[in-house]
Amino acid sequence: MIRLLDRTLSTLEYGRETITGNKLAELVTLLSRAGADWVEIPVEAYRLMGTVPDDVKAILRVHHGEEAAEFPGFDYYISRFGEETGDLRFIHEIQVNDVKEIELLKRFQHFKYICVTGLDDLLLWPYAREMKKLMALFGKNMWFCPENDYHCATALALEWIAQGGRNVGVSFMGLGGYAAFEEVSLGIRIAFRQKSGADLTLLPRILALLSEMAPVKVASNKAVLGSRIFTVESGVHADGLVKNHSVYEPYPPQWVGKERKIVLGKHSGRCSVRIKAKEQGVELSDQKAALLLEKIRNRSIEEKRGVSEAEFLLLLKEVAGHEA
Amino acid sequence: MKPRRFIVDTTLRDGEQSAGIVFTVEEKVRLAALMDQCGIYQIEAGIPAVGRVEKEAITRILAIRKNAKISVWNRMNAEDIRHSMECCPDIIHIGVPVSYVQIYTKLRKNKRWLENELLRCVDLARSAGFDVTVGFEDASRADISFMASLMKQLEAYGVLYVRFADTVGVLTPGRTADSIKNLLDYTGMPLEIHVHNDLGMAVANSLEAAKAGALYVDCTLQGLGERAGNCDFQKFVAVGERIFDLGIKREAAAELLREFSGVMRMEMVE
Repeated sequence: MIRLLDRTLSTLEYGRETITGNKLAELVTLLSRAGADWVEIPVEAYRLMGTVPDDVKAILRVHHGEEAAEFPGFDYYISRFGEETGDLRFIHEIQVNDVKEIELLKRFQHFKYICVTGLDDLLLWPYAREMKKLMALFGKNMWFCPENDYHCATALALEWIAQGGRNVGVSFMGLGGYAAFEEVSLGIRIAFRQKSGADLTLLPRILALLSEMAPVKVASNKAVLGSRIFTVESGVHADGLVKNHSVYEPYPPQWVGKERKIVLGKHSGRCSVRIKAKEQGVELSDQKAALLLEKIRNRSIEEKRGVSEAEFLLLLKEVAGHEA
Repeated sequence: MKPRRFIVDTTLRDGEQSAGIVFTVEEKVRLAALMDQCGIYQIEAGIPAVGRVEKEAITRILAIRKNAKISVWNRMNAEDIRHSMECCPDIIHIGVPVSYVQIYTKLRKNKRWLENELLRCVDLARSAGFDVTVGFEDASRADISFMASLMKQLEAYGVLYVRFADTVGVLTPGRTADSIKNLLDYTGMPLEIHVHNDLGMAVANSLEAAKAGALYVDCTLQGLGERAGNCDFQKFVAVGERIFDLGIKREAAAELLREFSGVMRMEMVE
């Protein structure tokens, strides 16, 4: 069974007025519904929230092991410092920056719960062999939280699962330099064909809420979340998508709360032109579709951008006359 | 000594296919010159069938390049290839859909038709004296034995190498390595990797393909490309250089990236 630990809350800068207990409570609820099996809540966030929402499984991040006793009631506690006290389940987080350090981890073998964070460079090595070493050392109770300095964190998280690992640490959008929650969650569904109850249509809501709390910037082509990842101009792609979305899309946009949009420009083809004309109730002949396409391409090249809806309507009128 | 791998930049082709992105001829020529200077092995300069302006950019790029190979992209049809031949590129690249969903749903044809059409197109370009590479579109969802069989035939027709494209970006590093190793073991034909970033794994999958033996790695500047984009040149070089000789000159690459940032600032205004 795969278990995702979301660490987004631990990456936020507390002290901002924009971060409130209510927003944090909503965020952890949404993350949980979107597929986070566990949500890591730092003490600072917990103080603002006052309580953990029902149905959210939380791991409290404490500054040191001894602090855990001040906050009873959590299933797990996690910290880079100190030792567990009493019967509390304490996850020791260990930063490992180099594959060669894996050999040195034997001295931590006596810990019942451990989280290995880092190993950015693992993919440069025979990573499957190194992951097996970690599994042999710490067994099923190990959490792996790959970092992203080498732009491979999502891949490492998914390969950890592919190699038999169970627990993976992530953060929304990869904030704080971890594997991206949304990429790993979707990757589990697509690459391993594992269905879960995760509701990924909540991703845009999570992004909007997070943007209210922190200065979050999302590239328009950011995997899963970008505003233009389902905007299609290429004629070849538009033609394929009309026949079957799976021809040129890895998953339906609706899975992640988005919609496909066909736009026109230099790389459009006759198929796209026909689709857009049909939306206006105009059926174009081959000859008129070709003529309109030429005008669209020329306009796009002249203006050095895509052709807007208004421009398209004018060009359609030029070509189709009274039909448009 | 680190093993050599070769960067193929497809910013001017796959990158420009992103919705709303159009480079002027001047921008294309300037970017290609900088790509050439920084040691990029091959520049996929565009799609001649798009029209006159595209052809002008390609011929001007051919005129100014010093070392980089200049390739052009074609759909699998004779008309596209004739447009390309007019430009006299170094390499004519022919894209062929190889997954069943692409063959039967998009093309509405069958494997026999596809083989015949592909070989006819390759023969057209090869007979005219051009070097040819073939791109297996949607290879990550295709039958590996079908691809291996096609590669054997393409080798006999003198095709230089085959591009393995993860067209919809669903590969994982493990699956990438398995596919590349299997095709190399069976055919011995050189491979190029072309991935998309839909699950955020473009750099990792490209790296793993190169580790598995793919000689050529497709990148775009800023990871531009369809949907979530392609493998980001800057990120791939930063990571890949640790284990491979990519032939990239750092200062020239920095200048290329600066120039491209300027171009994209204008592009991204909506």
